[in-house]
Amino acid sequence: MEPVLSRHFNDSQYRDVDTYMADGGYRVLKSTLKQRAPEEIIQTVKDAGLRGLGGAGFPTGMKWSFVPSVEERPGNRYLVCNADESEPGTFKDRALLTWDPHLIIESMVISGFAMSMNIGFIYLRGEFTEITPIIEKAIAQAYEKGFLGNNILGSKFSFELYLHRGAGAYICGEETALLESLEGKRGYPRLKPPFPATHGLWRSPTNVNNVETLCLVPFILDRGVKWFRSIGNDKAKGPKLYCLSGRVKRPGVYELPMGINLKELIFEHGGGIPNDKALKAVIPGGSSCPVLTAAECDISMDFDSLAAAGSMFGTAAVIIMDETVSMVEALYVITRFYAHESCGQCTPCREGVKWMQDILRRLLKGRGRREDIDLLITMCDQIERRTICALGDAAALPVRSFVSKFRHEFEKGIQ
Amino acid sequence: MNPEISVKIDDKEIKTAPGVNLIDLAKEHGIEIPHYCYHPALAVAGNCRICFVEVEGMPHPQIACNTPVRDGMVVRTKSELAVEARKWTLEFLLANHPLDCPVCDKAGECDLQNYAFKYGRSHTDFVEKKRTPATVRLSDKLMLEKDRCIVCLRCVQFLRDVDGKEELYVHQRGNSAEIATAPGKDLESDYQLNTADICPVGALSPTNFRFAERVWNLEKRESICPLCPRGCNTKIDIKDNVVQRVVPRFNKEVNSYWMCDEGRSYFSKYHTNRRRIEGFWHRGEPIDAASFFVSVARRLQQEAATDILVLVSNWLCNEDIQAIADFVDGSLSAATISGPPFKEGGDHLLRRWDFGPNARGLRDIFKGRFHEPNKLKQSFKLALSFGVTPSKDLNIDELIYLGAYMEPFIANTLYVAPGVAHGEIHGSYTNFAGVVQSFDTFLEAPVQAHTCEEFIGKLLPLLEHR
Ligand SMILES: Cc1cc2nc3c(=O)[nH]c(=O)nc-3n(C[C@H](O)[C@H](O)[C@H](O)COP(=O)(O)O)c2cc1C
Ligand code: SF4
Ligand code: SF4
Ligand code: FES
Repeated sequence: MEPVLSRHFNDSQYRDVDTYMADGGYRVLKSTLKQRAPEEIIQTVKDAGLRGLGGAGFPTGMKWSFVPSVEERPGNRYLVCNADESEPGTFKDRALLTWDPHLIIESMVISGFAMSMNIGFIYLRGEFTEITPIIEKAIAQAYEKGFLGNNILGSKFSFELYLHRGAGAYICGEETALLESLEGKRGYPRLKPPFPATHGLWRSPTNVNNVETLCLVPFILDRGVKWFRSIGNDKAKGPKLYCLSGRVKRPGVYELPMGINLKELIFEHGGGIPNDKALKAVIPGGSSCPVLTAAECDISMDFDSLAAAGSMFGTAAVIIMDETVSMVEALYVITRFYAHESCGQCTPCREGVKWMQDILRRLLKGRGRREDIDLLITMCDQIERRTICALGDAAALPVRSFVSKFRHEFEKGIQ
Repeated sequence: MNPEISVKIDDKEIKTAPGVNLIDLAKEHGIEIPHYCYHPALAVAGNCRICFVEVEGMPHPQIACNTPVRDGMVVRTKSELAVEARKWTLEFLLANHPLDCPVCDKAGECDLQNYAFKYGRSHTDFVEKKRTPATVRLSDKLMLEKDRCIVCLRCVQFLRDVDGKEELYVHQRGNSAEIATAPGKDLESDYQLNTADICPVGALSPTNFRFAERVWNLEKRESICPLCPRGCNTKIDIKDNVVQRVVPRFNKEVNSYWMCDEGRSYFSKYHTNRRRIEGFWHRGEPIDAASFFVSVARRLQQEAATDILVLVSNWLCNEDIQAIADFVDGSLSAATISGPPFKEGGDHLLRRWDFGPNARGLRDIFKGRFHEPNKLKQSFKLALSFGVTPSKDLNIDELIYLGAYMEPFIANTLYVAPGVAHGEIHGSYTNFAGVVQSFDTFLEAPVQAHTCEEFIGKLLPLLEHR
């Protein structure tokens, strides 16, 4: 597949606005501001069938159409680019942020125009310290060239863009916790409804999208819905960044069509498992997604197919485990992460996830009790869908899948 | 939209308006839905997850505190799904709880204890090491037992949203989350003890009640706070004729769910340990009651009424003030009437600056006859004071005083009679906004103490004999 999102990866010259422009950058912004109406852009994004790539896969065009019109809700309206990428196994947005900052800016101005937003924020994961100056410089250059600010390129559209660095909390990637954090408050996810479209940042109309989701928008507008839908298989369309990590020969970010076969992704593109070990299990979409056994890996990588298989596409962050990996240890590490990152609001998540961590630790140390395994499953029942945000689910889903599919390994930890 | 919709909660068909919060509706109809974080005067936080109910059509339990009712909604508070979800919320809450009810002041009125008994499991699956964070002092008034805290955030919300002071916040994250003040800072709020009232568990405790009493040993009464003319409605806990604790009682119009910290310490600061006037006195010498009234009557008759100043306290109830007004009208109609000065204004929440509960009732009853003390320029031969310590600016030769507490001036006062204190009488106060609130007796007065009505009752027949 011809590189789209990844065309500038590993070449730092495209961080500079002139090089980016020489390669056709900001051309789509110019033509969009001149030739397209906001509703038309939203319709195009809908027609393309673009789905959010921050994990939940919500149809992007539909989400945009929930934002009330300027006539209904004048005043400040916000577009937020979610660049808090912290889900273990996920490092695709980081590549876009590192190598193509102007693509992100161009995408945000276009998307902001489509929803008549006047202010944009890039919410950057706190630990991405090396990316901060890259984005800062790109924003400054975009202002200099008139791609940001008042009356962009002589149009009536004005858009201010700010970079906001997080302070190192995974939970601030959850869109409403992100908004609280942007408001200067503790990153607690909000109760929904109301949703950000109507009551977002400072209770104003707001849309939050993932970096990769936004970056696809200029390409859809430029090359057309037909082009976008020509990539992929019968289940899902468009280009997609996949992250390969774990026991794989060539870990990294790969741009391939939506719906690629998981086995093909691991063995052809990733080069297979090092040291001729056998594949044992794969987490297909980031650490919160239920694990697949090796036998379940002959599957199309898309939202619907993975959901049908009882897992999730998530962020397409494929974590590969070979026969030598202890599933108890792997699950312990994942659960420890969610216990550490729980914001601590909801009783089941605050108390339950740490408790699961403690049980897993005992199982890992061979100090498990016979009742522990069923207790873990019961706790998943009582955490899943019992909380304000999806972190509770994110913590419970891996536990349920690991314990059910690899129960024999957990039983070995019983005293 | 149809103003009347039907909702079914358990077996009850209820007609209501759309959008009403399910938890409020249930309560209104006598159906208990347990709750910790939800408080009717605070924004919905939705974090504790104890208020789970089953809503037909929803596969997962829903929190009642964040469920606006819809027409045709069918809610089950006792279905297996709801019961099991609540049980597990309690299991999670109790996992790290110290279970130290025997030494916890909240025991007996603790919702963790109550709900655990009513809705919880009878055993636990938790065998891990408990979290044991330390107990900390938040201010001179308040302690926080972090291991009992369920992080419901009521305290944080109250200070931030009701009092407007961001003095408490959540420190750390996840299982380590704890309530804290800014490093090195004490709570400064004048309303901080409200957080101890609304803390659903024993995490926050007022230092003045810590380890003092077991709540079930206290006699429970209701009253009105006398400290300022707001007149916050209160609940009073008593043991051995001593007020042990004062907490606010809900009154939508007057004080909502709150009261100020100062009002709670009214008894300990201004009453309990003060020496009372127990008998009758004549210039520092004891005198018997009969001689007292005869002498006072004689003295009052000796002076021309125009030379007499009647001082009436704003601490008296309307009924006493009325009795004084009637007495003056009948027997001393030419006397001048005054009382303590009035201090205007108040703080941002409840507290009014005037000291005492009934400045408004006092002025409402006497109307134009009441002279503001700062405008009184003439001198008087005799003052008859019902509870007012005469200020130095007043020009009076002699004083007859009916009052509750010993004061230095009493040693030189012509005649002194023992009066009753707040708590020892029943009656009503008119608050600063004109709300008349009645209250009952809850303390026993000293044997010889007289209310103004009683005092006048004994004096009147002697005066009529003139
Ligand atoms: C615990 C948690 C963490 C999340 N972290 C991220 C994140 O780091 N980046 C992201 O784009 N979305 C994250 N999300 C998803 C966002 O809430 C939101 O759905 C997303 O940003 C929407 O963008 P999209 O529609 O373009 O996918 C997270 C969700 C949860 C529940
Ligand atoms: S589910 Fe966990 S992370 Fe999400 S709001 Fe509740 S406590 Fe916080
Ligand atoms: S101290 Fe009490 S009121 Fe405050 S969060 Fe803890 S349990 Fe809730
Ligand atoms: S009372 Fe409903 S979640 Fe706390």
